Amino acid sequence: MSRGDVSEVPRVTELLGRALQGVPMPSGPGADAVFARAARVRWRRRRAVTGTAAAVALVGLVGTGTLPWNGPERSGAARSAPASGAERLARLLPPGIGEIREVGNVVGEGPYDGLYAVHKDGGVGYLNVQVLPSRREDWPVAADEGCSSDVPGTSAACVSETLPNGDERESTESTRESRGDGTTSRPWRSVRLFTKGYAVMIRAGSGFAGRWGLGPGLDAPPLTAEQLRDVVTAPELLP
Amino acid sequence: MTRGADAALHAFVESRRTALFRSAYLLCGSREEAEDLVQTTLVKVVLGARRHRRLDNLDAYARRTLVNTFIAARRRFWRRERAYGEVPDVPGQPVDSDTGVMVRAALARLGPKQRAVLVLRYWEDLSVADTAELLGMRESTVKSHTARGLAALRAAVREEHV
Repeated sequence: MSRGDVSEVPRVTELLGRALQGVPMPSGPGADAVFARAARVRWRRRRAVTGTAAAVALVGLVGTGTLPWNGPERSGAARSAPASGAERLARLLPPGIGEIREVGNVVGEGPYDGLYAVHKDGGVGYLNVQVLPSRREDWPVAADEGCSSDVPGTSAACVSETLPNGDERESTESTRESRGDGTTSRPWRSVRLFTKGYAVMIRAGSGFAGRWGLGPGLDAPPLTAEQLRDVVTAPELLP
Repeated sequence: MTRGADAALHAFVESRRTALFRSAYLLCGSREEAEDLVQTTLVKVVLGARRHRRLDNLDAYARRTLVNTFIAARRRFWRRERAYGEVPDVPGQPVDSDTGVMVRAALARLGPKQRAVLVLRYWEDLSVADTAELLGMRESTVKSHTARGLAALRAAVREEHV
C-alpha cells in the first residue's frame, strides 16, 4: 500500500476503496424492481393528475364565462371546437356515450393518453387513458387474487383473464364511493391490458364531488365493463 | 420513448447499479441505506428519462440525483445521522480492514456535503468545477469542504503511518 500523502488523489481514492472492502454488493432484485417501482409511481401520479387537470379545465372555462360554477349546462362557445384528441378518442368509442372533451394531460406514451370529461344527461364522468411501457411482472400481485391491480384502500373487485393471443387483461370495478384528498369519488371501473410490452390502462369514473368537480356525476361510469374490455384492445391506443 | 430507448434505459440501470451502490455506501455508511438510496435514485432516473425522452448523459444525471437525494434525505432526517461510534483502539500494526473501519468512521463524522464533495472529487473523479456545478455550490466552497474532508481522513489514518 502506498504511504503517500492523504492529499494525493490516488491515495485518497485508495482509502475510499478500503472503506468499501468487505461490503457485500447488492444482491436483491435488480432493474426489474426499479422499473416496477417507477411504474407504480407513474400510476399514482396519473391518479393524482385527475383532480389537478380537472381544476385547470374548470378554471379555464369559468374564466371565459362559459361554464357556471358546478353547472353542467354550457354555452355554445364552450361546446365548440373540441380538442382533436377528444375527437379521435370519440371515434374509438361506441356511439352514444356522451360528449367527450379533453381536460388534462396524462404522462404516458400512447397517442390517446389523456384525461377526458364525458358529458351526458347533465352529468359529467371521466375517462383516463394511459399507456406505459410495462410488463405484468412489473406490477404487484395481491396475494389473494390473480390481478396485479394496484388500487390501495379500495374494495375494488378485479378479474384477470388471458386472451387467445396471450395478452393479459384485468378488469377492476369499484361500486362504492371512496373518499380522499377532499373529494368523494363515485363508482368507477378500469381495465388494464398487457400487450406487446405495454400496459394499456383506461379508467372510467362516474364523477366525483369536490372543489374541482365539473358538474354532478353520472349514474354509472361512461363505459360499461364490456365496452371497456373491447376498447382497451384497440391497436390504435399503442404508440 | 421507443422500445430501443427503453431497452437502453433498462441496460443502464442493470449495469450502473453496483457502481452507484459503491458511491452510495461511501455517502451513507450503511448497506441498507445505500441500497435504498440507489433504488430511489434509479427510479428517479427512469421517470426523468421517460419524462424528458432523453437518454444522453444518463450517468451524470444519475450521479447528480444520487448525491442530491442523499443530501436532501440527510437534511430531513438529520437526527438519524450518526457516526460509527468510537474508533476502536487497534493494538499493533493495523491491517487493511482496520483502515477501512477508520476511513468509514472519518467519513461518518463529516457533514453530508463534505462527504459528498470527497466522494465526487476522489471516488467519482470529478473536477472542482464539475463538483461545484453538481452540488450547486461555489468552487471555493468545494475546496474548503475538500480540505476539511482530507484533514479528517489524514487524522484517521495517521496512526497507520507510525
